[in-house]
Amino acid sequence: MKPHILLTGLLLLLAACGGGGGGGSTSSGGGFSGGGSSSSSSSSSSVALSNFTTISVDSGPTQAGGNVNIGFVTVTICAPGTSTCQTIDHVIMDTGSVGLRIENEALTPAMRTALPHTQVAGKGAAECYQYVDGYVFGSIRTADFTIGGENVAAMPMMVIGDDGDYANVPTDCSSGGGTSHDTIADFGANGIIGISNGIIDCGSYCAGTTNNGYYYTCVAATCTPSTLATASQVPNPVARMAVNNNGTIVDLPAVAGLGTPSLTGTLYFGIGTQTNNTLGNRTVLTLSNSFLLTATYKGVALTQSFIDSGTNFYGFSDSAIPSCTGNLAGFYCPATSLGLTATLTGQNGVVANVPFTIDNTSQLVQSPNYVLPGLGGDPAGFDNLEPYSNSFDFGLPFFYGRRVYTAISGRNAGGTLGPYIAF
Amino acid sequence: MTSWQAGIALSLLIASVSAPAHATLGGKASTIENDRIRMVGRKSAQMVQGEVTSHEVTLENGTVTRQLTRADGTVFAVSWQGPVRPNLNQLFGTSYFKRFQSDNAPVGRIRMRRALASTHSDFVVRTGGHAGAFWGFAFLPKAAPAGFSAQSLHAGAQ
Repeated sequence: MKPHILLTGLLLLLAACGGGGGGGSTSSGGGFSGGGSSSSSSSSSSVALSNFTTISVDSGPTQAGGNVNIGFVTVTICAPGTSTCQTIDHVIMDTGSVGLRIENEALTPAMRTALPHTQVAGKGAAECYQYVDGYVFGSIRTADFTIGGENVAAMPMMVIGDDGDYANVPTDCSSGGGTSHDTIADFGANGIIGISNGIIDCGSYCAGTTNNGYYYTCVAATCTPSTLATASQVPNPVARMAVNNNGTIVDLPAVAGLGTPSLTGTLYFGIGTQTNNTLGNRTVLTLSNSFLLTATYKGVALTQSFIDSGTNFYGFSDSAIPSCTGNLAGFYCPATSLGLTATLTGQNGVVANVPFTIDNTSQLVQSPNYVLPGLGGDPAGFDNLEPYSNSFDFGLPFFYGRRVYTAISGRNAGGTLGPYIAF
Repeated sequence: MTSWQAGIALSLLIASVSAPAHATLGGKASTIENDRIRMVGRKSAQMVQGEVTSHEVTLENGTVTRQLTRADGTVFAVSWQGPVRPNLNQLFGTSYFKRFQSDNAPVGRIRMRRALASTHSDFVVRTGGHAGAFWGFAFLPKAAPAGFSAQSLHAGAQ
């Protein structure tokens, strides 16, 4: 079939790119093998490493399937210092946001009671956190947190869609637009773990400014804007880890053809801190303060581009690619698979070519596959309007067949200061 | 600074802002100051290019909003960029905001997790970004001055 032929060509191109590469630094190439055990066991026999966990790309939790190109991980949270714990699967692994946020619905009644609320002057703290397609609102709690072999004690987190004092979403939160993700069905997941380049979800700004757009305090289901000390704000869990706290590696195998029902890979914690997370001579692209870089596509430099595992498609504008219709309007429906290339340029001037494939979305979604490497769309939708094209969003399909490093802002990761992306 | 001092400082800030800027899409600039106060703008600026005036407000949460008015004062476009999507109900006006929300209700068996957008002959919205860095614009094609390019609504383009 044509798609297979084209994709074979793409894989060859990838290998060729890894072997030579242009612009400053080169990738080591060839290193597309997934799985953490092989690289960790081949290194040293002295200590068994546990700085990783499994990524599963599948349709989602049983009560809310229909996800495509979403990587899930499993986490465990406990009431601090106690054995009241819960293990929660289908938590979205998101390199585009910050913080652990779990749906209230996903918690047992015992956990809802046991996780202590963060207080500001005697009132419970809450947060409105926005995603590109909507928002979540809920209470701020603390939990002892475990993922893979990593632990963080008394870590601030959010309980999405909490009840009682937090039952009503403030108007300023819902008026940011989009869908409320305050239930498992709405979110398509039991929660989300934001492991972007950021250390904390707001920072000193929210500690000093009342109308910060993030934090509130709530009494009797009425919430008003509030400051919150940085130590109580929701952190990137990786930034709080004891040793492996300077970033992550997402390692997912390549996916052939039009896709596959599910996919398994590994999320490593730390960069250059263990024998299984070395940076090597991969291409390092440093990012702006907003974690953006430039993608050049068909000769146009898109200066607000980013790499984000929480986006489930390649988001970019190209009026030459036919659009889908009906419920799929906004996604690409080319007659045959298209082999395309974008060029990434970091703040440091380092350049990397990114070959990718765009398939026909209406064909993709009719398959039983939830891993769709060729899914692409125009975040601006389609019509005869001039494109609003200063951004290229590289979603999870970008991660297939790559080992993608996300280095945390201000942290030295393998010899280079974050924020950066490397692959 | 005590609260009453802060209150006086805020009053002075508001009084010192000339030609304050904010109204709903299709509305007149004269209603703008109410919106700015409700949205807790901390500073504002104004720029004129031909018959289009750009009213810029930096919200307390750090997001910059712009509203474009025609010579007759009608707001025909708004844009934003910053850490938080602003109150779009306030920026668009309730009826446009309802259309926008309706356009972005989830559909189909596949969760697309895409940026919010609206496309109509009289009302267009484009948004983008990721958590902590959002941008977007809305405009009324039929109310825009002849020759106006939506491309100029790019974040930072004005």
